[in-house]
Amino acid sequence: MNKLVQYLGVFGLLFFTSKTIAHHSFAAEFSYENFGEREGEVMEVHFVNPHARIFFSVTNEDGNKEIWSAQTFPPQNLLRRGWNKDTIKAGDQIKINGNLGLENSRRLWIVTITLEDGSVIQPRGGAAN
Amino acid sequence: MEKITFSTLLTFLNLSFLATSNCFAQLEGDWMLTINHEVERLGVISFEQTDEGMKAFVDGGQVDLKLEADQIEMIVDYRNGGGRRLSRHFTGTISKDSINGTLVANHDNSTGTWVATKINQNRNLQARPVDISGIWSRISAGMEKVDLDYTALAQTLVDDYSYLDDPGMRCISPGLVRLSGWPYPMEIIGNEDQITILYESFREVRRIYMDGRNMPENLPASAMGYSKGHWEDSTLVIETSLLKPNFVDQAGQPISNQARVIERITMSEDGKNLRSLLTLHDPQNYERPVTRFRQWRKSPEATMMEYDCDSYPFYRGLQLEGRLIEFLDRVGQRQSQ
Repeated sequence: MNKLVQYLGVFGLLFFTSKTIAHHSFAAEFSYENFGEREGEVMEVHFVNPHARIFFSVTNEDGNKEIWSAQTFPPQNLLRRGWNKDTIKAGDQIKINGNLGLENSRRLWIVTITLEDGSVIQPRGGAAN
Repeated sequence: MEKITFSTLLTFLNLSFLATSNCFAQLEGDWMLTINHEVERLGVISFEQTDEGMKAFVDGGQVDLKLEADQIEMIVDYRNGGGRRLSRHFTGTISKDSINGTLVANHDNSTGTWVATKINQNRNLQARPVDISGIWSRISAGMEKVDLDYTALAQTLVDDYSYLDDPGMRCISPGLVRLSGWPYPMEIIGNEDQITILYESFREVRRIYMDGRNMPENLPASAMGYSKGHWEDSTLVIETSLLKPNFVDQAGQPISNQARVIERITMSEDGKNLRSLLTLHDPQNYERPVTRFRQWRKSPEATMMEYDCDSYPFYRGLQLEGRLIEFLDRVGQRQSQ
């Protein structure tokens, strides 16, 4: 819980001070206030419009696997931020944090992705408002 | 000193003018609105005297209005890029030819300024074409007013809208009105008989026929419609019809297949900026025309990218969340697209 509060603070600040706001349908799918973090193995990467997506497998508190869907800006924005289609591949271990989906859905709108080697990707940037 | 005296006199005259005109008659008509709130955004304010008093509309949707002496207050709803519904509180001072003031966004208390000036209706119809070719990047999509002056039919459709109906999620073009405000560049290629616009978004192509032809009668409707254009002075005026039903933006405000769109595109004198005032005439859905101001800047350094789109992740996401049936059952809401 403490960790959650910490993320709320840090990433809430990042989010609201950014001039670039999320892409279409964000408000219908994601929370502006609640942030979370999930770690797991990448199953599918879709580097496409209208949103790039990563489906990844997360082991929940009960030890069961569940599939989470992480979304972010489309390739036009990501390429301009140095993230290409080979940056993240199926089988990679990643940690994603971001805005949680509404209604307890297993979704994240990506704020940061931490790769296996510890490097951190921030997809925000570009003119997606 | 003379200047100050003159300006003071003008202010005095303006105030006297306002004080003696008990119904703010000078407000009536259309005003060009410019706000500076993070970026510059343009819109149209229309003031209309009714039996219930003065009403104000921004881009075709009514706003909360309060007038007292030469002071004006408005609350104008809008949506941000993520579709969140927000509002700005405008306060200002009315003078004879302009309204100036400040604004505050209600959700984060960020502030900005605004100015409105009467729109000059005098148009020089003589063609004076300018070269608008090149790559243009979007600066802003306008005021993004959410609530519009809906007919009963449109209100029902808006109330029933779900983001699941958004054609863009399935890689289907969101159509002329919405696409014109999309955040990716467009390339304009022009000659005397035809202006062609290549949009990065959804790989859309528009052909604007400048040769004076009539609208065809039996052509199927399409997302970007059928466009013909002409020059009025150095403004490119484009009329488009034969549009497929679509939406004004992600709040699901409907556009019918009877819609007609007029765009008035002007380039700044230095050739660096382009703006378009788009007016949607769709009486089936709106009691008054809906307007949208788009702005771009010349970006010769920009590279047009491919709009590589795949609807699979959308469907896969719905399947994982157990919402695929809900989506499929909304076929009625989508079949007109």
